[in-house]
Amino acid sequence: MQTESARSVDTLSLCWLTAGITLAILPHGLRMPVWLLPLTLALVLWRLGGGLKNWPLPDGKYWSLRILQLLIMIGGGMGVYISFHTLVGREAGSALLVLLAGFKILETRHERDFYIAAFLGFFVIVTNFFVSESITTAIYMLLTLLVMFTALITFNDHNQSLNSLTRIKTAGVLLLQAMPVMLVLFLLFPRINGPLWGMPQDAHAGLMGIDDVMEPGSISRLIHSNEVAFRVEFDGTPPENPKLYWRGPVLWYNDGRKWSRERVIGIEPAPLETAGTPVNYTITLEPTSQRWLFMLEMADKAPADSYFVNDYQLLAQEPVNKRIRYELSSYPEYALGKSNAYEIQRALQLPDNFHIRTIALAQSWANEETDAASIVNRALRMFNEQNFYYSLTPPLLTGDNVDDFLFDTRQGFCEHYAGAFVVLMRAAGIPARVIAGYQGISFNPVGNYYIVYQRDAHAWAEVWLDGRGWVRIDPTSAVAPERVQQGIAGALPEAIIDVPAVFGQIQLSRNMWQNLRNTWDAVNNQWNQWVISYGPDRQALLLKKFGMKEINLQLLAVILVIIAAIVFAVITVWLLRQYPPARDPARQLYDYFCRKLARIGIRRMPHEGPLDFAARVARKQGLLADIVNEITSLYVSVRYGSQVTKLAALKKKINAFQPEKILRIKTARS
Amino acid sequence: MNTSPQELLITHTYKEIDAIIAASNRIILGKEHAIRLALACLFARGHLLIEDLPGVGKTTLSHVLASSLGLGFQRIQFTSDLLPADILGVSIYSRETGAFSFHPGPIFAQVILADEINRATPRTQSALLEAMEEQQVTIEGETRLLPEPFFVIATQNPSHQVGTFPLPESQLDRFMMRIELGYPDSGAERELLMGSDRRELLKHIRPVIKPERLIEIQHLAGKIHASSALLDYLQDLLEYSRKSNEFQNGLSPRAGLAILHAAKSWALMEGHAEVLPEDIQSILPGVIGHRLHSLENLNTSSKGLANHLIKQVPIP
Repeated sequence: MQTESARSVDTLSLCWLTAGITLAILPHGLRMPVWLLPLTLALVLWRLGGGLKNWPLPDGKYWSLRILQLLIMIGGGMGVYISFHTLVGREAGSALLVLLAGFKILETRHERDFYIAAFLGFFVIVTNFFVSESITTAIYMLLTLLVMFTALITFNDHNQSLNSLTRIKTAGVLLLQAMPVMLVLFLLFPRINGPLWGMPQDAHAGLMGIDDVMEPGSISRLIHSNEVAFRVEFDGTPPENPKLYWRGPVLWYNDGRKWSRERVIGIEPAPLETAGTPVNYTITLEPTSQRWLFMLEMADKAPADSYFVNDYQLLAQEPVNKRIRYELSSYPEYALGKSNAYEIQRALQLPDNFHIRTIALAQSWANEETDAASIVNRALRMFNEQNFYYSLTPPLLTGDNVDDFLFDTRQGFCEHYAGAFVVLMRAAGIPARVIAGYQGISFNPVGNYYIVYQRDAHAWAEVWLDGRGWVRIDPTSAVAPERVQQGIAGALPEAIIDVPAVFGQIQLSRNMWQNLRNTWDAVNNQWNQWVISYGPDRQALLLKKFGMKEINLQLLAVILVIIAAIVFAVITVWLLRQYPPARDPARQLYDYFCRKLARIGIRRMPHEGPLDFAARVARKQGLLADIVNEITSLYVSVRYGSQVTKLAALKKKINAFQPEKILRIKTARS
Repeated sequence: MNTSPQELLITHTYKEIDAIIAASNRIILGKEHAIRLALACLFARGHLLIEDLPGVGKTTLSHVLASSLGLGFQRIQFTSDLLPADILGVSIYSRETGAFSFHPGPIFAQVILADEINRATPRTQSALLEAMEEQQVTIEGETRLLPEPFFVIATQNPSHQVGTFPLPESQLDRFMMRIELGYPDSGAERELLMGSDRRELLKHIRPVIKPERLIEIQHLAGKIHASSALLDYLQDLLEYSRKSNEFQNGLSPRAGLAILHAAKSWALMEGHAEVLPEDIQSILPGVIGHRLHSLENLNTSSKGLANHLIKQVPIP
């Protein structure tokens, strides 16, 4: 008999464990270098093969395999280093962890290995949240957790008395029992500011979104993205679509090919003249890893931790690396009447030796027209009346992109029109700049809020008109008024893949799909607000609802301890009431034995002692007398004689006991 | 299978006991179960109460037990004028020695038959019962140990007969068992009628074992293993008698001990190395018959009560 500490891992437990860990590393593996996941899975498979098919495993018996294992280990570590140029940090650390989990599985032989591998698995589960905090990840990880729990239960179910379903059920019950504690800890544990997990700074690198550099294609590439840029909750009704310009980076500098931002230090933003009633709204901005915040044109006060720069760009103190919420109040009726000389001069900048034809055209307009406003109108009229097209897939511009666009291809997206328009204005002597941002909103009736998608990205222009100040001119609206009137989906319906083709055919299924998507977004929004972004503010808000105005950490800790104690007490009482004291193993086996006899119609009465029962069985089925007497005497020695060592023999005998078969064979023989 | 010395001893003893039973059976016909219970009581160092009509063989049974075990036997006929001193003995002044000398009463014997105990006054009854309980008597400030083994068989006429002082509950509890002999079945009766005089036969009984051996057997019986599973069952039985509201009073802790000890003896007599639920079930009618009283007045016989209890309590 093996001692408890050296208990080896049975195949079934191993299968559950590998299933759990494989589930946990899969999402990591898909983000990692291509070689990592196959290598790890191969290690896992090797161990499984060892358990199921007796493949040779790297242990004392096969020292050559141990060397191979060592070599793979070194190679894997080096591979991680080569791929990431480091072994620490989120990506490299996760990769190393995944690899180590594979190796731990490979060397899992005994109880201790099993538990270490299991805890490693739990850790891998947690690390998945470094990368994604979405509901899908949470649900997936919960399932993985269930599998891991089942693995632990299977391993501790020594005599394998439970079937798989019961084990999964038990794991589920365990998870459910942990829920109240988890909820209490989540809600009441003193929070620090920040997302659920401390995300490293590179967490949102490579995100899609508005950039502060604009060139042909930089905005149109966003049009296929159904990702959320930000969500807006309006107090009251939002302004109409044509007024919904969400101001982002202001682009001043043209190098001949692209537009970019220009930092001007030391110039205060000019005061804003506002009229009418303001629109109050709250924006929940998805992480951009950039500093600018979007706002409806035009807000007069910057929210906390942000400020306006000279060109009325709203900048946060820190790059937005997590989802943030800010409240704003904007005046759709506004005037930006003041500017300074430096700004005006910068707004006339044009690169040397570029846009020759465009500049010539603009200068001819400047000669013909008397005032700036008519030059602006002339440009817009040109876009509107001549053969200009609003197109998502304009021909590639190989030469001077403004000249080629204006005179040859004449097909473009908003960045083409905004860019070309500002060049025209500057060439005609009118100060102008490009504004990048979003235009339009989509309503989510389920969550009663509005969404601005990445596909709503837009670019427009502002020109300086004497006496009126900076005036927003959207050249795209001259070509495609529906873009501004109805949003991007109205302007380019065929380009927006809003609804998958399968659902798109029928109106009903189309509506269902949209409804589904709205619901999903609403659920996600709640998840973001209450789970991911659950910080001190939200906690205070929640506690206020329960009547606690002033929260201090000490009080919170006390409440937490009390609640935890109550929860544990309730669970303990419930458990004690639920289950009678555990039955003696010998008794369990004997019950099993009695069930087998009951199958052939001999039922033990509850008050019938083992010898009496054996005697009765012998009377009823003489053929079974010998084996039943043998089992009974074993049972009696184990249970009433306290000879525990005979338990194994009893188990073997009872498991092998098949009354029907004995009767059949013996009857046939006689 | 290897056999431990204890098991060998049990097997050996079991055979000896079988011989005792066989010897007794030749004289008391058709009463094997009663003999077995009486022996179980003896091995468990308990005392026995036989309650039955006169003439069914109570005295003979006592005689047989004493003779086949080689024990000294005394019979005390209880009458309404019997005094404690008549049982315990008296100190009498002797002129020759000039001192008091103690004349031991009939209680200084190994097996005592207290015949028709319920005809004596409660004072005399309690003198006997105290001696039973303490295995010693104190007379005039001097404590004297009773011989060992010491076994009292009291007989009692059914309480509805006239001129009796029925034993109170508390006194009854001191008897480990109460058994009934009952009428013999027709076969046994016929043999009885045809055979020679029982009294003659009694004279020819030769002891099967010596008294020292009996003490060894008593020790061995005490050592029979009672597992926690068995104790669970016993406790369930006691619990049921106390909580079910079917009985006037539940079984006392002394009753529980009596059941356990009797069951151990029974297990030894069955040749078991450990006490089984069946052993408890077998001795239960004898042990609880005089202790439990049904509230519903059903199944008032010992057997009926015991069977009811057994059926109600599942073996854990």
